[in-house]
Formats: sequence, structure tokens, C-alpha cells
Amino acid sequence: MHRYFLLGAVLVAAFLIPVTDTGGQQQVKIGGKLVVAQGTDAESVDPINFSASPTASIMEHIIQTLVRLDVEDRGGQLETTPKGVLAESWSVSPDGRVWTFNLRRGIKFHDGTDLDASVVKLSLERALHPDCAAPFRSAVLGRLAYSPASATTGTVADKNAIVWRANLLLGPEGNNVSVAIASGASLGVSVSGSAITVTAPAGTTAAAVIRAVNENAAANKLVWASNAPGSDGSGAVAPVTATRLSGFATSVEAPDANTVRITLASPFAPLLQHLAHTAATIVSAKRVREAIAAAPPCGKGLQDKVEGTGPFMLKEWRRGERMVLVKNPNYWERDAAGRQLPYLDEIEWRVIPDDAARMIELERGTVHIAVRVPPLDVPRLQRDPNIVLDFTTSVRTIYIGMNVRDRIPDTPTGAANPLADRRVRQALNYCVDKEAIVRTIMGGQARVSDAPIVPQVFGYAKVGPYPFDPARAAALLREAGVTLPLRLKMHHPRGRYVRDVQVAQAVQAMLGTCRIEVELIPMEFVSFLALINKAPSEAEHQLYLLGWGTITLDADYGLYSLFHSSQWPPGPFNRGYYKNDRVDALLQQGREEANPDRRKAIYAEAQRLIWEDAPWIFSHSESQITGIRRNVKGADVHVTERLILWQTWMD
Amino acid sequence: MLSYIARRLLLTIPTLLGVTFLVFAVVRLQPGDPALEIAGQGATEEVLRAIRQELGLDRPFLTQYVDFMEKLLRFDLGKSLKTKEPVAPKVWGRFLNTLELALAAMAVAVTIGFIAGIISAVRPYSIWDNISMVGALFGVSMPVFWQGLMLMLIFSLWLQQAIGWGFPATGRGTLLNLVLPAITLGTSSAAIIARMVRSTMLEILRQEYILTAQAKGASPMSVIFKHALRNALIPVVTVVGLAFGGLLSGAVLTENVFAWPGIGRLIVEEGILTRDYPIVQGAILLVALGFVIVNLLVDVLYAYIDPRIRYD
Repeated sequence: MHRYFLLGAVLVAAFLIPVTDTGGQQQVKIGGKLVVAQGTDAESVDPINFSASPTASIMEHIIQTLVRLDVEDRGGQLETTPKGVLAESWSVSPDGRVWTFNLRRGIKFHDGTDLDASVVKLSLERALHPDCAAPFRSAVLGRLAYSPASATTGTVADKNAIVWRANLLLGPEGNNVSVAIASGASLGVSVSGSAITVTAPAGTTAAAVIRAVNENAAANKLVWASNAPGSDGSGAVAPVTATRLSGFATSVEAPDANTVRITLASPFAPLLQHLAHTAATIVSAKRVREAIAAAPPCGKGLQDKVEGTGPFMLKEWRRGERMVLVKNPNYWERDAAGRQLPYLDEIEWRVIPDDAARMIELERGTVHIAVRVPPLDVPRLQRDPNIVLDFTTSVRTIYIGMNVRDRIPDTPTGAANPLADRRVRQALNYCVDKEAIVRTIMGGQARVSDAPIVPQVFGYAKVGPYPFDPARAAALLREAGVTLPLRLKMHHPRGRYVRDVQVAQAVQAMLGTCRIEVELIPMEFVSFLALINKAPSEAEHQLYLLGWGTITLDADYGLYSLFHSSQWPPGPFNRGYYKNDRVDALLQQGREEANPDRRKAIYAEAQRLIWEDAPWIFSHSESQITGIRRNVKGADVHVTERLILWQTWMD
Repeated sequence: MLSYIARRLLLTIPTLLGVTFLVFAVVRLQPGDPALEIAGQGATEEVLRAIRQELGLDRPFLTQYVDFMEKLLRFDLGKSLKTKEPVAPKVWGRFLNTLELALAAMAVAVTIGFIAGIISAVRPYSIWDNISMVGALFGVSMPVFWQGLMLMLIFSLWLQQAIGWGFPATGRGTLLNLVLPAITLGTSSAAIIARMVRSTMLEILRQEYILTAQAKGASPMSVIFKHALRNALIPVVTVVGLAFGGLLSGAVLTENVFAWPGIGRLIVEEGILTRDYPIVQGAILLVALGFVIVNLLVDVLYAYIDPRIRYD
């Protein structure tokens, strides 16, 4: 029942870490203070104001999500399963659009207030509000958000109902709409396609309905106004215009204290995976409501303090130095043996930016867990009898994307692009020795990509790797009629990913042996992103080195944004402008199909097609190496680069 | 004297004005769009525009500068672009941490520098002189991150493994936490001070009034400390002042190695790397102000050391 998982066991067998037996009978020692060292400090403890995994690692001990993702090893097969945290159970409507969550009862926040559906709604809506600009808003929670309506016309369909032809929902799916209009007891609101129908009991006029809707408008709801004073209920009236006056709408509703209902525009199978992300954590409403009242709509001053429902409470935070968490004595969760969690009294998260200094503290024992062990220190630390190294693959894939448009930039006058030919792209894949990159540059602490996503991600299917085969590459280049040497440009970031510059240089050298001459253009990360975030008609880039972490552990997040043709920049992430109609259809099916087995089959086919089309040079996925003192038991390193320490204890 | 100090304080205003303009311009000329940094990779152009507008980044450079100066006169350093917290308290807190480390480092530098310098000057070309001066050469040449890690390895890790106790390696807390970073940071200043003390003292010890002092029967100690050292102080104080001012700007490398939460790390980690203009501006302004004040103090000290120096 305990959630240990042997990540990377099947993948990086050499680095398998033996994990303690997790049976309920095991003796654990309660109490003690654990010290964890990370390289960077948390940015904030406000879920709308963080972007990095070191922050998430700390926050998830304080604030919690409705569900979390457990990764389990089932006979060599890694399975990601959503488990209820604040939600005890959930159900989804047959059409896959309406999700109902039943909250666990009796849970209290650290400030003593009760968890109820309105708090969940508040937290999620704050994360969704466009003005709050939460970093993960569109990527993780975008499916829950409804962009505000601009102007909406409606007609009185019959005596008692007004139908609005809404132009509400922006985004690739078009105008499928469901809106939570404040519906009073006397009004019924139903949605079908792009029409919102508000009905009233018999005898009410349409004008009265409009008035009632207007009067019923509460904060954070769409507010409707009417310019149809002549509506008298006869049915023969002028069009009614509803205008958004204030607020915005989301699909999150709280029909009663223990139920949260989320209505989606279209079915979205991996919703639970998205709700498990730290961006969807639930924060006590007390201070948030005060802060929002003082500074609508997001509230200010919430970065330094937070009250959640988690196993630990935030006691002290000295920025750039340390954050101290203390045990929540009223924590609701128990372990398999029925013992109250967490075991530890305190966790201190220290900030030690220098890798070598962090390792010294680990070796001294003044730090119990140190993240991001430098690969070069691995052999030395492995000889230390007091230290155990944990090797967990990360969900981050490193790749070299290719602009696949016919011309660069994609205008009639642009230069012809050899990379538009699939054979050339495959040749590049055959020409790069990924094994060598992993073995030498990454010091063995990485995994050669054999699919666009890593095995821990739901829907992964092994479709590769491309073997290192220069002869094959040469043949393909010949077949494609490419004049050699082929000259290409490659943009890459510096210091964003583990040894990114060296990887780029290695790829350059390897391609050189196939007579593909690559000019490297190193860039600072933010400028680099701006460069590749352009519409194809303006894009100048050919090859670009980038990484992508499938943080929801679901194939949709790892494939849709990167390979669906609706996701071309500016904005989304299909930066090579890849388009394959069959892949598009499969990726769309994958997010709508509810049956997990069928989803797996869909994603397997999509990955096979993507692999053959080779819009990337598929390189490797990074490993996270964590140093743990031997007396620390039950520390989990999650694939999403987070530590999980509420079932951790010290011998 | 008071009027001199007042005049000097007034003179700092144009200096600081120049600094504000330089900082403001340089920070804005670097590549990278802070709006993109705030909104994240997936931001739409609409969101980016809204952020730029909110932060005033869409307005002309000079308008932004005037706005910035207006706020500065009210001691308002603006709000962090990323966390939206006021910058002033954050920068001030980190500056105090840096001040603590800088004072400790100066204590180390002055103690070692003076002892080594005086010994070398009194016994020139002796074995002590050679040891001091070779040591000084090492002190200046050693990169701090390497020296810091070596000290940590020896006095933290190995000492701990040998006798069960070692100096704390990283972080800020007790006085013991100051020892290793202060030595690391103070070493190069110690080396410079030592050479300065030595050369000035050597020159002074050849002066006739030293001969006079010795002739009238003053004890060797009195000759060295009362007659020679006091007169050697002026150039040394200048060097110490400059070194101290430099330390106030935060020693990023040392702070990084020892996980010291100082202003140098603030500028790099929370300012430059995330394009958080107000933090960089606020921190650099405070550092510049510190430098100016230290210079002023040095000037005032001259008069105290050498009563012949008068400023009115």
C-alpha cells in the first residue's frame, strides 16, 4: 500500500537502489528533524506564483491537491495511478465532460478552518484567473479555464427561455460552452453546444428572466445585462445582448459543501493528472479571502505564508537560507499500519547553491538528503558507507527539434528547407550516437530516448531508439538527393539543462562525420525561447535543443502540445511546426477516450508515427541523483523531481 | 569638520544620480524580456502585453526613469517583478547579511595583514618576511571558490571525521558559521594589506625621526607601533577602505560556496537570472551608497590619524 516505487529499475538497472520493506509491521521511529539541501530556494509558497520543482517539492508538504499520482512498479511495468488526497472519490459522466469529486470529510487547515468545496473552488479559480498570471495556468489548468466572454447575443426562444448564442470559450476547441451562471432557485441554466438556455418557471416573462439573471450575479460569475427593454414575454422580441460586466467564469462549481463539480468543454481524459499538479493545490481560504478583498482579483502578500492541509506546517522561512516545516499534529492521513503521519517532527530545507558544498554537508551528516548530486561525485559517494544514492529517471526529455516547414521562413521567398524531407530527418537521427552522449557527456546518468516520452509517463510505448548507423544515414541523405555538405544552424541554451552546451557540441561533431555542417548558436534561455516562439512565416530557426518535462505523467501533456498541429507558435510548443493529420486525430482521440487500455493503444500508434516522421533528433532523458544518509528511511524521490517525506523517518 | 562631512554628503548626490542612471540603463539594455520570464513559456501575446503595461515596460525609457526616480525619493525601490513584494526590505535584509560577512572578513584581513606586514618590515629579507610575502602572493592568487571548498574540506569534513567536530560548512547562524567564509573572503585583502603595510613601514623606518626616537631610547615596540605604524596608516587605510567597499558589494562566489544569504547572491539569483529589474537596481543602489559612505569614513579617518590634515 505504501507508495515506494523502484523508478528506473527496469531502465537503469545498474543503479537500482534497494528500498526498505514497506509492510505495515515495520518498526518506525517517530520524531526527529530532517535536513534537506537543495540548490535553489523556493520562489514563493503561493501556488499561483511558482514555476520550479524545488518549490513544488516543499509546497506539497504544506498544501495538497485533490488527487496525487503514485508511480508503482507492477512486474516491471511502471504504472501511474491517481490516488485521492483531498478528494475521497470521484466520478465522471458518461460523456466524459462532467467530473464530480467528493471531498474527504473532517479535514482541517493549519489555521483551524474546515476544508469545504467553496475553498477548493476559490483556490482553483484563483489559479485560473487570467489576471493572476499563474505560470502553469494555461499548460496545466487551461482545460478548466473559460476565457471571459466579450459580448454575447441572445434571443428569446420562447416565452420562458432566452437562448444565448455564446462566443465564450476561446481556444482550439471552439465554442463549446458551459458556464456557471449564478442560478437561483427559480432559474434553470442549461448548456448545449454554444447555446446557454436560461429557463424560468411558467408565467415568468423573458424580461423577468433577464432581470433575475442580472440580480443573481455574484462575484466571480458572468454578469449579464440586457439591452432588450421591450422583451415582454410574447416571444416576438428584439435580440437580447448579454454583456460581460465583470468577473470571469470557470468550470469549477461547488454544488454542496463536500462536492466539487468540474464541467469541461469537451472530454479530457487526463484531468486527474492535471489536478495532481502543484499548481492545483488547495490553500486555506481565510487569508486568501482577506487578501483578495484588499487587492482583487489575486490578492497580495501571500508569497511568504500559507496554510494548507498537508502533513507539515510552515514555521519559518529565511529567503536564500532555509525554510523550516513542523509536523501538523492534526494531519488526517495514516500509514498502512494505522500510525499517524508524518513521522518526523521537523524538516529543514536548506539552500546550498554550490554542488560541492552541498555534498560536503551530506558527507558530514549535517544534511540528510541532498538533491542534484553531480555525476562526477557519484563514485566517491558510493564508497561512503553512510550514504545511499538514489537514481530516479526524470520525466524531462532532451531533444533537438527541427523546423520541418518547406521553406524557412515559411513564405514564398523563404529558403528551401532540407529538413522538410523525412529521410533527411531520419538520417540526422541515425547519425547521432546517443549512447555515446549518455555514456560520456552525461556520465551514464541519463537514458537514451526510445520514445518522445519516458516510461513513467502513462501511454509510453517503446518505439525506438534510432541506432547509431552512419551508413544508413548516408544512404538516406543520398536517397533524398541532398547536396553535401549540408549546412544547418542550431540554436541552443546555455546552462538550462544538464551539460546542454556539451550535448550541442557533441551533436555538431557527430553530424559533421555525416558531412552535415552545423553552426552552433548558443543563447541565453529567455532570448532563445523568444527566438523559437514565432509563427512559421517569421521563424528563422532550423535545429534547436530543448527539453520537455511531462509533469502530469500523462502522454497527452508530453505529446499534444509538442506534436499537434494546432499547437504551433507563437504561444504553444510545437516549435518545429510538425503536422501529421493522423497524429493530430490520434492525439485528439487520446484526450477524449476514457478507457485507459484504448488510450494506451492510441498513444502507441501516435508515438510510432511521430518516431517515423522524426521531427526531433531524439536524444536522452536526464536522471536525478539524490544523496540520502543511510539512517534516513522511506524517503521518496518522485519522477517529477520532488521529494516526498511524510512517510520518512530516521533510525 | 562637520561642514566638511556635510559637503561630502551633498557631493554623494551627483555620484548616486549617475549610479541610478547607469544601473537603470544597463539593466534594461540586457537581452531577455522580463514579461516572458514572468508569464512563462506558454504566455499569449495578449498576456505579455498586459504584463508589460502593468510594469510600465511599454513606456519610453526616460519616462520610466523619471518614474523610478520619483519613487526613489520616497525610498520606494519598487516591487519585485516576479513576486510583487516590495524590494526595499528584501534588499536591506540581504545587505545586512553581507555587512556581517564583510566586517568579519575585514577583521581577518586587517589582523593577518598587519601582523604579516609589520613582521616583514621589521625583519626584511628574513625567513619570516619570505613566508609572509609568498603567503601574500598565494592569498591574492587563490580563486575564492577553490579556497573556500578546500577550507571546507579540511576544517569541516576532515576535521569532523578525525575528531568528531568540524566547523560549520555552509549557511548563516552562529559565529562559528562566519569563520570559514570570513577567512576565504578576507585572504586576498589580507595579502594586499600585508604588502602595503610592509612597503610603507619599510620606507618610514628609514626616516630620520625613527632614528631620533631610537636615539632617545624609546623601546623597539614603541618605535614600531607609535612612531612608525601610525605614520604608515594613511595609505593602508585607503586600501582597507577600498577593499571593504568592494566586500560590501557582496562576494558572489564566496556567498555561493558557503550558501551565505548575502546581497551578491540576491543580485545574481533573484535579480539577473530572472530579469527582476527592481531587485538588481535596488541592490546595486544600496551597494553604491555603502561604497560612498565607506569612502567618506576613510576621509574622516585621515584627519583622525593625522591631525595635520584639516578639511576646512
